[in-house]
Amino acid sequence: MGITRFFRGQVNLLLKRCNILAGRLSSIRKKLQPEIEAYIGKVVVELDSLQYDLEQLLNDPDFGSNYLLKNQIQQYRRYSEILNIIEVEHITVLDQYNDRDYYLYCFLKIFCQQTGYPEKPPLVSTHSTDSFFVDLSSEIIHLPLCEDCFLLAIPDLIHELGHLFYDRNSIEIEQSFNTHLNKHIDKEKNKAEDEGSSKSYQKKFNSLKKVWMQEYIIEFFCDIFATYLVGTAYAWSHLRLILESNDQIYYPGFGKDSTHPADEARMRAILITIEELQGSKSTKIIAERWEAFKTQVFNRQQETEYVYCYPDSLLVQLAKIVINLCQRNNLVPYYQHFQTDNNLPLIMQQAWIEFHNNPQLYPDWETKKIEKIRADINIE
Amino acid sequence: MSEIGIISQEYKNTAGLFQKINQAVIVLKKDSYGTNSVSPSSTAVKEAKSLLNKVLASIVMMLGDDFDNVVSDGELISIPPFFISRIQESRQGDLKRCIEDIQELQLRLQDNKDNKVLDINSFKILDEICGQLDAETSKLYRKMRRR
Repeated sequence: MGITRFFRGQVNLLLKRCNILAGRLSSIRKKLQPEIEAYIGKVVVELDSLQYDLEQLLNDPDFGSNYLLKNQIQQYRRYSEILNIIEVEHITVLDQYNDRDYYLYCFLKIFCQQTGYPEKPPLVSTHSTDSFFVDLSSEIIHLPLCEDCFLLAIPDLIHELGHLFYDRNSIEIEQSFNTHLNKHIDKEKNKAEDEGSSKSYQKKFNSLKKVWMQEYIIEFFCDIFATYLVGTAYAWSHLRLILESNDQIYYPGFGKDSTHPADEARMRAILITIEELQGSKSTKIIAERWEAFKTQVFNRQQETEYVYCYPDSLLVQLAKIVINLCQRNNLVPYYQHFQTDNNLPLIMQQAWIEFHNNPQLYPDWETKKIEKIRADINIE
Repeated sequence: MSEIGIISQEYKNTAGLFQKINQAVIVLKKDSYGTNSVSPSSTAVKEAKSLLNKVLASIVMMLGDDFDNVVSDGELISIPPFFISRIQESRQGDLKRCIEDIQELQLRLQDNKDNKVLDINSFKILDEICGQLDAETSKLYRKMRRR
């Protein structure tokens, strides 16, 4: 079988898969809550568009011609990825959709209304095989199976919402921040050059710049966004996360690789955000507790060059940019909510206060609080 | 602490850029070599050249580690920095030549008001860029799906 025939056969099979998934989706939609209809509609549009593109490809008179074959195969690869995302993410989540997912979707929907979040709330799935995460290719937030029964980690859900907000605003954020980043990196690189450092050492500064531009900026953005909306509740939640998952709070340092910046720097960015919003007095308790954990619990190994990676000056600039963006979008900061007993940003803050006041009795308090939230949103 | 949020954002950006560039290259190839297809419209050809001109200008700047001015005509073309690293690594022996070649093609596209079709060497450069971007997109996709 020639390459073109083989290729055509594979594109045809992808089209068949597209049609089967459209059929599955149509039967799934009958059993879902009417509120989810808009999401199903979005997936239907994506499937239709993909079907159209595949038919266009198959009907191209130049299909498989020498000069286009590579481009068409590369294009086919993207179509295949898109269909896989629709199958594995969208349709699988909708197929497994249950009351827990719906409760957390309603929870997030109310949170978005109360904070003035300018977009529709995303779907939530409680079938995560990892911790909390959002998949930007489907825009679905995934949580562990029984997270609907807890409150202290829920600020992490707001961090994931931040990924979606970043996606909508990334160009503006990057444009505003990159000037500060470039200035910092150039200054440090020039200093290293003046001190006679090797070329390969200087190249590490270019790598640092790239990793900030492509990855670190996103994670810091989401931390600052979540802090803006739920305040110290996010700081405590992050401390909880570090405690259960990471002892190396200064990793990655200079010349090291990781998608996430160091937890020490992330916690600093969170505290800086609270200070920017409400002054240093408001961070006193969490800052003291964090210092105690840093010196007594976590690994304290910090390389000299760590200072190049996440200086306060950069974190302050980014916090100012994100806060400004939130304010221009009329998002309500954590300290400006009306004191009502069904305000979710306040409940997240209150949960941590209850935990600190009485860790022994906290689990019962939490259970009752969640029952009340469920009753308020009319979910048993 | 999941990496999916970041990786899926990187995938989305990289795949989006790939789609734009690849589509533009297909239009220009059809304009140059198309025998069976209806020729693309002059507007489609003009738009493809304009897009590639902006993308190549940004790539040239970033390959030279100049990240300061990657903006063109009010429309920002966001180039993933790790894609630039991929080109720098694969062409580390002749990076200077690579930058010159891309720049020369970019200037041709920029000055192309005479509607001249691109030659085989121009398409070699564009194919290499598409290939690198395709490889970077696939890498991110596999990472995202933990394959």
